[in-house]
Amino acid sequence: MMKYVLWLSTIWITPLMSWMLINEAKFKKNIAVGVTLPGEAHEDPEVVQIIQTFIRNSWIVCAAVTVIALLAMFTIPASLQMTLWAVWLMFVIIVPYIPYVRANGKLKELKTKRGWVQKKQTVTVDTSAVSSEKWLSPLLFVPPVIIALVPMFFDRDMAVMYVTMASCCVLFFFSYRYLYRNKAEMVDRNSELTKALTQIRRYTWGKMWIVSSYIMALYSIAMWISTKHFMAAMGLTLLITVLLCVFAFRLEFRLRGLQERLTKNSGTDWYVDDDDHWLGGIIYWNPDDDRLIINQRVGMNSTFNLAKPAGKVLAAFLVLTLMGLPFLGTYLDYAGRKEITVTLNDQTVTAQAGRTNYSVTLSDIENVELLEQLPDDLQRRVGTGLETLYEGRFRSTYTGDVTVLLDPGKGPFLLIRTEEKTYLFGVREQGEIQKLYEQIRK
Amino acid sequence: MLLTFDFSSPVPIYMQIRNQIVIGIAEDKLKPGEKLPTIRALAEESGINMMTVSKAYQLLKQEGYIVTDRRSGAVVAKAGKTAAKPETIDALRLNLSELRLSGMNKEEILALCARLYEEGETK
Repeated sequence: MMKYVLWLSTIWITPLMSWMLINEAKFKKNIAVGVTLPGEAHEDPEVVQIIQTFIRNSWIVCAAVTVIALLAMFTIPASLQMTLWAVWLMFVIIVPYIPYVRANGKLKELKTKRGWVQKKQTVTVDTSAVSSEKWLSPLLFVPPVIIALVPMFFDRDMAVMYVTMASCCVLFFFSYRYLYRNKAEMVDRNSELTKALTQIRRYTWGKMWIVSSYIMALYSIAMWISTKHFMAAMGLTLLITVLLCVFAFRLEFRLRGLQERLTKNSGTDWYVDDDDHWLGGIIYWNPDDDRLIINQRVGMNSTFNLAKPAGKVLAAFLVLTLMGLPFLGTYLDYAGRKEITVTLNDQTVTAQAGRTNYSVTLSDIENVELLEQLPDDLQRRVGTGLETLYEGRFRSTYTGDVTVLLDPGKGPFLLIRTEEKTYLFGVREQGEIQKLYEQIRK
Repeated sequence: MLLTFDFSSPVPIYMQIRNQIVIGIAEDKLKPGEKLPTIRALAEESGINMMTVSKAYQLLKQEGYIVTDRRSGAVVAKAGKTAAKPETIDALRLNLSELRLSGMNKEEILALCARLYEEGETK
């Protein structure tokens, strides 16, 4: 079951990424596939040919990556699922960009060949269109923070979760305020067009973060209501994730559509062209630009100036995280398979798996039970919840707060209650737990 | 008005800002009393360091082309006749000498000056 959740929760990333990249094949602000071209070039047969090849290759890559995921989901043994999934995820993030970068290179070559390159790479500012709009008040983000914290007063046990959600709302405010460069969306000499493009981008950006904060607050309330019902909580999490994604993508594509329509007739005279600063059409590299946060040229997203020291550090961090994914997968596979032992020695019951060690003195035990099945509403609070290993602090109606070390697929389980704590242990070898249960009873 | 900055030019960026604003005022692209972008906004817009923009604005203020106040920021100064500065005359003398050395005669130089002056008026 877990492996299907794992793969199905991520398999949609590929078509979505491909769709986003393919959308860049349409000219917006005179830019297609990261290359700025004059109006006369938009319908040029060679340009059209390169763009069509890019679209075809992108869909082929998307289909291939999706088929690999489906094959892996049904054929790869459970012990290797995490490793393979992590490797696949790394490729999903990188591979869709290959057709994009190739098409970008070809278009740039053609641009030079046809003399569509502007002689000097300069920075132009329209003084009458310099963005002077005010930021939204931080007070607008206060209600979602309060709403997200409300459940904490009724359900102290899950306080960490509600505080995390409220923190997300605060984080959304900081993202709104500091991950956007307050810069005019200049395309050509038309100041009115620049103002309109700037305004719609700014509006979209604000809407994105404000609405996301309220959705997060709603999520906090939903989790509070469904805290005792694991499946309901999972369903709500899925629903909120889908809601957030649909909302964000709808905003992004609406903005792109407006950028496309408003700049359709641009590029006939002088137009902005800063392609030299965009490596492969994706990476911004401009040592003359003093700013770290850069607005992407199409859509509403931001990126970093990699020519700045902080940009290099961030890029290195992202690359290392990406490269670390396969190692994380291998570690999770290993963690899921590590041996679990529960023994009775010197009047002490000891449960051990790797470095995790829980001990209970026999004299402290008030009650011991043998459970054939785990409680239906057993939920992880802090610790590991893999398909083959539960480890850490869990909670259920029957057990209350419970310290757990077991393989959920291998019953029965030993429930030990002491005056202060409750423990739930299990091992993978059949019959071992029954023996231990009888020894403790004696 | 469009300000264009060339980072490969030997002319320092603050001088590029200053020169273009002076030309803009002379050619009536920037009118007296017109608000200029704030230092922060222009720096954000162009990617130029705030100190550089501030240096250009200070120079323009010293030269009397702009005035600044806390409420409305930097605005173009009201037009008024002032005597040409000795440095401007010196620069003109140098430019005229360079034109003469390039082989142009007096008539050609005056015609060029007249054309550039008229271009500034019609823009």
